[in-house]
Amino acid sequence: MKKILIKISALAAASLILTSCFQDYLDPIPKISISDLTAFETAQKIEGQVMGLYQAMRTETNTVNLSQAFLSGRTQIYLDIKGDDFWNLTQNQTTAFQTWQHNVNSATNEVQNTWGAAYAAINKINTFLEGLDASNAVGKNIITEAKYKQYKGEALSMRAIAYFYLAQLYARPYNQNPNNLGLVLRLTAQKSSADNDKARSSIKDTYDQILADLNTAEPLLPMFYGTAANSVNNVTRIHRNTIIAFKTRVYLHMNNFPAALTEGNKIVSANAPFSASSGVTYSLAPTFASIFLPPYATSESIFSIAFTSTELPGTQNGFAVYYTIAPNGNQEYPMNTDSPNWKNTTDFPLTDARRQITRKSTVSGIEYTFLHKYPLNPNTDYAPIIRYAEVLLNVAEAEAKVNGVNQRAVSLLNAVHSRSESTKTYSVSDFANADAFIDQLLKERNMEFIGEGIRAMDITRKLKPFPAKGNTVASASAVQINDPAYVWPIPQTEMSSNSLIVQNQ
Amino acid sequence: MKKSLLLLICLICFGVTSAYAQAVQLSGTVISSEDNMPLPGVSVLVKGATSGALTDADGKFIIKSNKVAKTLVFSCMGYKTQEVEVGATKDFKITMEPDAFLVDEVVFVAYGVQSKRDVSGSIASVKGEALKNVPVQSFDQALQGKAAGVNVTIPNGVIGNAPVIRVRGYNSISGSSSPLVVVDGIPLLENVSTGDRNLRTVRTAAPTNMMGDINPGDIASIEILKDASATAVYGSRAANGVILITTKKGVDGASKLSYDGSVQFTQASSTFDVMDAYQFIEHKNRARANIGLAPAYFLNNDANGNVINTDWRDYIYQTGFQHNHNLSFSGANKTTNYYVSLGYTKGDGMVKSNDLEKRSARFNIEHKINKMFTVGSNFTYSWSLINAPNTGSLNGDSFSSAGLGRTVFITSPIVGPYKNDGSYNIDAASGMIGTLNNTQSVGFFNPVFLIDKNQFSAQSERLLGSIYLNVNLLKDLYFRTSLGLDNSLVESKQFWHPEHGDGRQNGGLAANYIDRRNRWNITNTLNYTKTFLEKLKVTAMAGSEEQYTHIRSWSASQVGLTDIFYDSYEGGWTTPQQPPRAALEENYFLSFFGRLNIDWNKKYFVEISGRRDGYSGLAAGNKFGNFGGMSFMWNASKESFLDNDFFKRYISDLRIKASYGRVGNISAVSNYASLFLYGSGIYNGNSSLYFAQAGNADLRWEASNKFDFGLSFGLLKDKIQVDFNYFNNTVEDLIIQVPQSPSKGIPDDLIFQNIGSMKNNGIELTLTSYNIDGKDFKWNTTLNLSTLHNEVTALAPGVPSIVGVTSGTETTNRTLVGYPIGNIWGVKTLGVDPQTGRRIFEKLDGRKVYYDHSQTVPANRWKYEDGTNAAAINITEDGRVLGSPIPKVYGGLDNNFNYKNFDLSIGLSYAFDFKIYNGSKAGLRDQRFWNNSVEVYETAWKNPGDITDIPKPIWGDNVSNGSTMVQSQNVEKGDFVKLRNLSFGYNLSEKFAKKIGVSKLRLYFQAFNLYTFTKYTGADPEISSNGDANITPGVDRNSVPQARTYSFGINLTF
Repeated sequence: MKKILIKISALAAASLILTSCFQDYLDPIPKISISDLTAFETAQKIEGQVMGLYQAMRTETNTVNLSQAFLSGRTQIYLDIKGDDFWNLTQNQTTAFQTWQHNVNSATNEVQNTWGAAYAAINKINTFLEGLDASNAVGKNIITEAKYKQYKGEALSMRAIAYFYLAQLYARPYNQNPNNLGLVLRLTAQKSSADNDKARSSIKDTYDQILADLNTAEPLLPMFYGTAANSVNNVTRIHRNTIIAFKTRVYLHMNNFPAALTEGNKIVSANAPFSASSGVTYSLAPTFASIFLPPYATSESIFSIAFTSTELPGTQNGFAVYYTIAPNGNQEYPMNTDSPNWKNTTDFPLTDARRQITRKSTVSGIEYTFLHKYPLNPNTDYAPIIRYAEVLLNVAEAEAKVNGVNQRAVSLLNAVHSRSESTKTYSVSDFANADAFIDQLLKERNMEFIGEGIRAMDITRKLKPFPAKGNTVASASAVQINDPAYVWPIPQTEMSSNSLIVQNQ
Repeated sequence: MKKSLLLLICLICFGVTSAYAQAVQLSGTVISSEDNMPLPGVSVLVKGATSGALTDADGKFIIKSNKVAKTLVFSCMGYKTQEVEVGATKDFKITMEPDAFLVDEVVFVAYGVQSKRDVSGSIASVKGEALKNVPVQSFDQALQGKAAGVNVTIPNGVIGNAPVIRVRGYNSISGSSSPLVVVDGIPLLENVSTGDRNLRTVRTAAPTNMMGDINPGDIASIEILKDASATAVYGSRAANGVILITTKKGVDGASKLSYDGSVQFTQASSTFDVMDAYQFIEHKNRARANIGLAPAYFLNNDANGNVINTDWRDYIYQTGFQHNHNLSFSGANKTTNYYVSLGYTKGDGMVKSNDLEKRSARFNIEHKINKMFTVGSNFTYSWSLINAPNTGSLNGDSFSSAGLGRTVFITSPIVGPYKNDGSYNIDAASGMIGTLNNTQSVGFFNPVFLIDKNQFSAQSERLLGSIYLNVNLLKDLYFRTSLGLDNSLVESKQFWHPEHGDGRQNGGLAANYIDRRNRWNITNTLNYTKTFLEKLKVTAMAGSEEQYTHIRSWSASQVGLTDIFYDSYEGGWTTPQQPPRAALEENYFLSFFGRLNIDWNKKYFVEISGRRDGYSGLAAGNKFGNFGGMSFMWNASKESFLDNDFFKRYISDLRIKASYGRVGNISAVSNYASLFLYGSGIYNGNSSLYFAQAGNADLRWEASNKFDFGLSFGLLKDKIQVDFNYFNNTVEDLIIQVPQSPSKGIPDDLIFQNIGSMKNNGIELTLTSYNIDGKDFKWNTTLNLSTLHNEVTALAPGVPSIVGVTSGTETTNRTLVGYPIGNIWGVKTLGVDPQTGRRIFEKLDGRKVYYDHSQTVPANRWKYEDGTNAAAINITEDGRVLGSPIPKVYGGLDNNFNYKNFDLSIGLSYAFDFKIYNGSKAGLRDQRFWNNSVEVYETAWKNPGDITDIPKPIWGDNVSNGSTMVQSQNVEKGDFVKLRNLSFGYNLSEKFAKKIGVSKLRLYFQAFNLYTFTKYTGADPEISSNGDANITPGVDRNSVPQARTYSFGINLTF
């Protein structure tokens, strides 16, 4: 019996040893994905995560549905075509015909996809911010304090930019009433099934959050990457001047002109030729056309979303598909040559360089004019977010509002205008008051930024209706500011899963 | 053959008990009363002593006993045990009587063997002999109709396409509802399909069924464990039932060499009659005239001046020919038994360019080293190469423009595969089949070109086997350890020709996939059996098991063929592509389990079993789950009030069983489901990492609570045996993808959560009747009947229904609370208006809406009865449940006849009370350039007053007949009775066989899927265009039909 017991014990021991050998197998570590436990273990992984945030701002990375694109061009295009600069030839719902026509509903693709892509980016940012602090990467000497600040600054800036663009599409203008509904402010990492229900903040709280993030980020960010002279790195990554420039835009949307002026003065000199004296040394590019050519890093470029031949925007996500003539583009949205601005040859004579960056193409027997800012095939044109010309015009507007129409305001307008059109120089006496000056500024902005995602923002922050537009193919009526169609609805998917959310009226 | 089975059983039960002694020598011969032939493998024991022997191949035995032997006990499972007084006799002649029709067989249970009579759980048993000669591609197909509670659907006649197996209904929504398959103790790798999230899918270019690697000729028996008591020892993987396969062993004293060979012919069982060239031209031009368009289609002549009138079935289907060979030799002596086999199969299927070559080898050996140690191993290696065209019949392929199941319907008869100059009829400009002088399309791709030029193949290699050691520690206690492995390697190749078809766009495309799955499994068990007080038998088993699975797959593809000489990835190409798929994953199970069986005087039986499973895919702290079951059986016929001759004359062996238990399903939990993961990407040329998966740390097993009540008895001295079971199975913690607020930004806005519930219940009845049991003529009948009521009882909050989509295109099914899983979902139609020939739709509020495709302004096409415009009918707002595709009653009926040396068996399978969505019919009635069924030509509405179900044909109308959404006229009853199997055999008489030097020779003819009795108008009511998917059953969309197979074979034993 004793022998038997020994045998059994030996067997049991052997089994246990075998078992314990493989105990680790219960906690497998994936080989081709990186676990959150190790995602902050090396400097390279942390840097990679920051790149992942920029990537997420471009296009939602997880889904196979690549139409979940954010700033790859889609969002800017929606903000263009809500305005009156373009016609539509294809009536194609997957390329935003309903947005052009102001008749989206809560289940329309772009309404759902843009919301999804932007919030996916925001959650990636929140997850990164939370993980970065939790990892104590600085304390463990994985990254330097400077890098920590930079990454945090970049992430906060991206969150602000994401919320800013969401507000343009899904919330009524701040200037209409700051107490109007804003966005669902998600500021903590979401990883579980909890917290589906969250109410919308007011639009004031939304803008306060945007500014809080930008103001926190500003001192954390480096002055520039590598050199003060502009470079691809300085255009594709956020540094201090990127954020200052962006703040001039945000403050204009809040009618906070003194603040816009204060920010603008940080990077715009008192007198022409205007340039930034600290950080990246911005100044206007010598020619208009050069802004839209590789490497997209003229002295004027501030922040753009990058593409390369192996990182294309994806089907129907890039500018070229919408605006550019065949074969490089799909020539779906020709320029609305009947729009008041395009017909305004007094301010913008036919020799205006901005009119030259177009091409003619015939579709179904009719010749149309197409924008040619995004000419490349494959579509590797950078998607613009902000450039120095806008900052100059933002400062001009703030200057006029704060100090009246003075020489600096007019010089800023002249700087932008005369680069493309040399016959005309404005003087202070041309403008009866600030509003008259700003009317002219808006015309200038419209001509300058066609197809760069600015037009609808200028319409809504000035509380103007979206003008009617159309040709023989398709038309859209005007939309007044109180019309529900003035802003996009909250997507159906959010409405059905978030019990605290309130639909736009 | 029955005998060899009995021998095998004898061996298992008694093979390890032989002993040695001296002194007195007794000898003799044992024969069977059935055929008066020697009976090998009978255990002969000296009563009260440990000495004994087994009879050899000639039924002879020799016993040396050092005791004075008074009584010899002759026993063999399946025969009545005999006790014979020794007396003065030294040379015995014993005739063994079969025991009541084999009820006393053994069955394999989880990690062991039990006497069939003693099993208190619910187990269905199918003998290998019943499957061996059936002309199917894999054993699982042959299970159809063979066992109560087991529903097997063969989706179509494509070689290598896995059947859909459901044991007592559905146990999952997101995971798999297919049973766990265990071969000689090794859990097999799961089939790779889209329904199987556990293993990341790398789709093979040609269908491969991982069950096809088991040679059916090697199977000794198959047990299907159905209730929780029987399956609980498999714990977390047991919810879908367990199929245990035991392969053959050599039998003591009966060395033999067998050859089984057959040739088989395969045809498409049923195809559609579509319009011929004359009908096509008349019908399509009329449809065009009905909307004011000029004729577009005209007759053309071929090179010989005859009118081109193509029946595309002639170019797509064929009579397949296949030959199968199995060679095996086996034998055993007191210490060693072995079984070795070789298998070879080669042939074509019923679809052109669909072929198969398969080789397999098996080596099973067991050796008794000494009293204490027995070692053994079972190994099989198989190799197969399957070539398959795109048949459009696999899950996800239904709407493929190149799918042959679809092109055979829709390609016009007015053109042929070749032009008159002999070249392929393809149009380079449009990329479609050439239209000749017609002004409209005549089809998508030229199917003959695709069959000839495109290639899809899957080459599999599989090594499956185990090595084990049994240690007899005590008389009553033994330890068993086993190391098993299952290695599968599949290399798939795809080639799309650049000139035509799917490859044209890219200038040709080739892809190679490698998918390697390796599993090892270590099992240790301790088994104890002891009888106390002569009546209390206790059997206990405790064990541990580990299983590790590693999955590696990678692929590469290229586009832009440099020269049409090349036809493989390895050839000349201009542009490599991003790798389409890659996976590198692992999973691991660590389990402890046990079972206790107690039987009191063969009257009361209790079984308690349990398992604790740890699974690597679950979150830390949440890895382990507990499962268990218990059962009770009362052998009422042993009670004194029933144990009398009067009662036994009518009812024998009355047993009542009940079991309850809880088992799990882990298939919906992917290998890293609990983890928070980052994926890698690129931004502006820099490497990036992004938050890619929000793991769910709370995820756990789907749990299935199974209750079973059973009753079994024999009537008229066991001439009729009845098994009745009622089961009720409630499934909890179903894993469902719960939508998250998009503002949370969770990847894909979904999190898998354990949140739904479902139930299955029904009855199962098996009747076995030995109708006639004469000397020359025997007839027995087996009927099995099962019912199934499936109902989803809860889904997640925010998930009112789960939408099932066929091939990513057509919304065909919806799963709703209060209904069975996967209902057919569509809009209701009310026939065709006799006055105007318009299809009538019914809105949910009962209002009728008429559709007229001839209105050029789309808004004017939909009208209410009063002529005002109606909103377009759409499936989201106007859809409703149109029926359940899950049969409520199904089963099989087998009749076996023996007359002298002839045997005949006829097997039916049937299923009743379910609906099928006949999507193929919707396609066959489409009024675009699609060809239509002859029914459309003959019965389409022409004049006011016509009563028909086919509306007035309007060119371009894809709405009225169901191409754009599921419509009720295309949802049909699927009830069928199928003549599944018919076999006729002749056994050469023993005498004559001996003369020609063989011990046994049988010639047979078998037919499989011979005829289907049904009112279903599609090709076959046994259909699954969506393969194994849980939420989209019962869809018939552009699949090729079932195969009908005839085979002629020989079984030869030396």
